[in-house]
Amino acid sequence: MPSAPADVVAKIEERKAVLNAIKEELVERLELEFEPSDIDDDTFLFGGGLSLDSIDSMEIIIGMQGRFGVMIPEDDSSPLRTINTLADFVIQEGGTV
Amino acid sequence: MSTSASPSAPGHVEYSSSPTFCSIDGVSVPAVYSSLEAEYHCIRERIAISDQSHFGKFHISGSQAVDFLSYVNLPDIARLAIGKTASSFLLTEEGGVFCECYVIASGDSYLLLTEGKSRNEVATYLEKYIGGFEASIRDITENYSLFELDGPYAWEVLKDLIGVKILGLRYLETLENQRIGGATVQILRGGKTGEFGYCLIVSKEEAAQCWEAILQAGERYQLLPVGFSALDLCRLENRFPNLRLDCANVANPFEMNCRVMFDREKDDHLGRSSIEALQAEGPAKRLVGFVVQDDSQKAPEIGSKILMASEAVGEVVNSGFSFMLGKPIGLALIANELAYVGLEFALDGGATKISTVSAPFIYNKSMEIRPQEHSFHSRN
Repeated sequence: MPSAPADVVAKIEERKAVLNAIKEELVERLELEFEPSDIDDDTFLFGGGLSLDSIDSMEIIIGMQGRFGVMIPEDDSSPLRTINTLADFVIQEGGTV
Repeated sequence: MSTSASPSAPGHVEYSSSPTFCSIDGVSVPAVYSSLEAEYHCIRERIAISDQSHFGKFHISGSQAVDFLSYVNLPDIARLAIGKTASSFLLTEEGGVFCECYVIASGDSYLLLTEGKSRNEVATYLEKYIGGFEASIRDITENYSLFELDGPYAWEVLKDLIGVKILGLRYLETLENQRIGGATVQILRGGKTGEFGYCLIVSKEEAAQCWEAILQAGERYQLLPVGFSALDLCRLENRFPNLRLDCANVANPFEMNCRVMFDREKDDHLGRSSIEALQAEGPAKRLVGFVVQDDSQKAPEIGSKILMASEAVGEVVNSGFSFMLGKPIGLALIANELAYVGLEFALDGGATKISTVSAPFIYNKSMEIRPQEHSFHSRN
């Protein structure tokens, strides 16, 4: 691994923990046919990628609230694009793994 | 993408203005008609039409057509329902990506639309691997044109032309035998801009009348023909893989963030052992998006080294100026361990700072549009 400063390593580990928890939550809650490790961070939730639908979006909102204690507003779909945008929202809102 | 002036119109249509042309997959197609920025805003805010004549088109039939296609594609084509489409990659024996494709299941046969390699290269590839399968290939590239409509209101001009059935067409579904300007058209909901997108497949003989009918119907929506410079920029902003640019040097689908396309349960396929090894080990590098932090308006050069603590950890593989964000953006192929969002890197020996960001780079207007309720003419 290329040498990275300690603060960078800490930031990566924090993000990895959030990303992994989101993937686990989606696989369990939506009964997806993937292993969490088979889902890339920039995988889209709708359309291509995980090919979820509008009913799933409500499940994701409930899942993020239950797992991380963060509430995605119903009129804001911007966090619901990819695994990474969900992670951005969780981290920004101070969600806990 | 090299650009040059050319009088040819590969889609067999007459261009009202004189675009600059570029060569994609060995085919000369429009790069810019008038202005990159004007064409960009047309895609992002209204409706744009483009000539996608670089696509190879192959008809695959036979009792083992599905087995053949599953063997050469990354996803399992056997799971594809009739009327549905897979957005896919053709594989190499090393588990790498040969080219990008749509596989359309239309009953007892399949239509394969390919990009990222020339039509002749794809034909040679298909012929190489079809042996042993009871299946046949018919190259119909020269028989058909392919246009694309993209934009938050792309559905609306099609509603005017073919009726409300277009509103029920979901992503990667097709409508066959539609009539536009007297031409028979197959419509695939797809596209690579992040907006509503529709691919229109029409015979070469009827292509011009179809193109003209759309231009006429599109006048009330300020529809414009757009070239590949604007389309490639939109593709980058939405992080659709681009085999000509950001994915030109990736070694496998895992470096492209396309792991979910692979089906662990599918039967034997090209590059299987390599892909299974990659699944266990993870890729050496991965693509990650970045924005330039300073006030520079200039997109970083492709090939620029990405530095962390003065150590080269990757390189820029695609870049452009995002008109929506008002800043340069790009994609970097970075060492797997560091390919995460929220980090800062340096470029140009340390002179330029970049931050890695989530895909997609932008929020698409199409996300807010509900065709049952909205209209271009009542937009804010």
